[in-house]
Amino acid sequence: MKDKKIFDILENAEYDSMKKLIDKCPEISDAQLDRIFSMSERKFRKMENGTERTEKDGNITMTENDTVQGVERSRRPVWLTPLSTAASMILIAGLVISSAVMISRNKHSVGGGSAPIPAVTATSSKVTGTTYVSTDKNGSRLTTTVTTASSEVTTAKSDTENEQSSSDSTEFIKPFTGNWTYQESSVNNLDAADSVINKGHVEIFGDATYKYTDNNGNTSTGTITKTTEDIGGTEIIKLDFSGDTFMANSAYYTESRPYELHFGNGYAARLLRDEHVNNTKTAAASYKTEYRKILEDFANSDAYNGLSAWDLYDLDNDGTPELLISVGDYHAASVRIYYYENGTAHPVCDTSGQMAHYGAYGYIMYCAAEQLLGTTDLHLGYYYTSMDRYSNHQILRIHSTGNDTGAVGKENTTYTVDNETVDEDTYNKMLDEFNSKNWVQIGGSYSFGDYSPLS
Amino acid sequence: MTSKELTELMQESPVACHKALVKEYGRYVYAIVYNKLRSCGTNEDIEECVSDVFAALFMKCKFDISSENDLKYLISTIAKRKAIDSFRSLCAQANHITDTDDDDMHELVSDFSVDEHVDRSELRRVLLNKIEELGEPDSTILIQKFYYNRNSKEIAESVSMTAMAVRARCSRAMNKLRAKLVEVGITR
Repeated sequence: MKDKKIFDILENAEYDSMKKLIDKCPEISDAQLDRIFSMSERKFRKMENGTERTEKDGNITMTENDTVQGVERSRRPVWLTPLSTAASMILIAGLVISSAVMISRNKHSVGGGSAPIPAVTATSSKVTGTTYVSTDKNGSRLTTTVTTASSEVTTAKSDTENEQSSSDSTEFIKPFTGNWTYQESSVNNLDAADSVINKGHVEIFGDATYKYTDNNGNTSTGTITKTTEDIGGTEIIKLDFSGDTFMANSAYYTESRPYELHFGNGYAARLLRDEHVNNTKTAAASYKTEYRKILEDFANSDAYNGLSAWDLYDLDNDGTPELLISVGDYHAASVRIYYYENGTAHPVCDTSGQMAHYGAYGYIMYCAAEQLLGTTDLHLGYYYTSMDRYSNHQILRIHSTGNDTGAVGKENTTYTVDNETVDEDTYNKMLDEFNSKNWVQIGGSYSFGDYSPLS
Repeated sequence: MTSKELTELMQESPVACHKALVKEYGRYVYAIVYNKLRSCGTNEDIEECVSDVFAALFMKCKFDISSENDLKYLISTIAKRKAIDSFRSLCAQANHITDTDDDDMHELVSDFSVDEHVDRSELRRVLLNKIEELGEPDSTILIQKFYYNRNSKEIAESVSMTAMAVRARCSRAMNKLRAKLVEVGITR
């Protein structure tokens, strides 16, 4: 029997048992009583203040039986009422103003306006138009200009405002008026010049209508509307051609190619300004197109890996840059060099006629003043340099040096120049010459997929 | 102190009245509160609760309590309720974060057993009777030693004995009590 444990049973005692325990309770010291008294007084004052504060409100009366009457009044700051009133006024004013603006805008729209919409015909004598601006749920802004070719009868109701709007709405077509050639590619790649077929001619007029004449002399006409798509922060102008004249109805315009309106993704069909048609073959055969093909072929080869990259650099200062393809960025990753000549890209070869694999770590060193190519490599204790001249699209060796100090130590080092063993002084002389060149490191500026320099 | 005397004293000086109440019923309230909070509270917790009881009592005294027939009963009721409030508060603090898994879920089913409550009540009554049978000062020494957790020196002051004597009597009284409890079948 644990002495203390059995006395725990005395906890939570009933009245009778409690009476006995109270009798046996030790006296409480005066100090403890004073402490209890002061604590009690403090709590009492706090409670009393709370009660008095409540009574001062006037709505609550504390009776001797603690019966609560009335309701409690919450205290609100004095400034809250005028502030909330002002906020409400601002809110209401905002609603009224925005409603007025929206109604005002709605008056100009075809769908919401009371003015009748002129009928649409293909042969027009007068043109009216309306611009729609809408925003989809993703926040993309879509601006649509509907150009309507109308007869005299249907446009008789047009007022001055509509005429002004009509004039404005056809403004967009001005940059596109003129003669165009409609081209399609048999392999869905307009860059492949041989696949491009001229299907007919298109004349775009200033009233936003067009006339298409195919190679057999058949003609068709239609209207053009302009749409501006805001995708990813870039505005793309889109012209919608009525009818099913072309491969697709929507033709896109990009500022980088002002002579072209391409349908769909731009590789299958396009309208090309007549003055550019004659240059098409030349343009298609430019170094950019050829290099693009080389890059695409490389990307589909076994040599391609995630670290592969490419670059453009005019190594021989002939105005056409060379294409540098870095296989990777590791030690043995060389650079393949291509040049453009006679409408075709060719690999740069070494003196043996084989494609040169130059450089290391995906880079080559280049000295522009003397059109020199260089390589340095330190691997497994061997230090190697080579200096070559890039001339007539060939890489011609000038000198190479090497030492194996890192592998065998200073005492046993073998120094070589052009693969011949030489003394240290000769080696140092050749190395100093190499180091005296103003080398820059080139290659690997662009990743595969980023062909922007070739567009 | 009767309610009438209290009312008169209150009219003369509320502070004096409050002090008199603490002096008169301090031990009484302390015993009641201690009985509830003994297992879960510290001495500070118990004093805090006692002061809560008196603060509530002072509020009651602010109004006319001359109609109260039994002032002691009023105080004991306030003390019990405040002590229970404190007990719940202290237990809630101690058990605020609990790790309950499936094995412990059965403990949530019920924390009150009628049988156990009756058994404890009967055991308490028997224990107190047997302690009383020991006579004074043994009964006081045992209660203050094992229930109120007073040391021998403090007990010695209250029973006018030396601490050595208290320890000796306590030991002998405990043996006697143990024998008495065995007689009635309480052996745990």
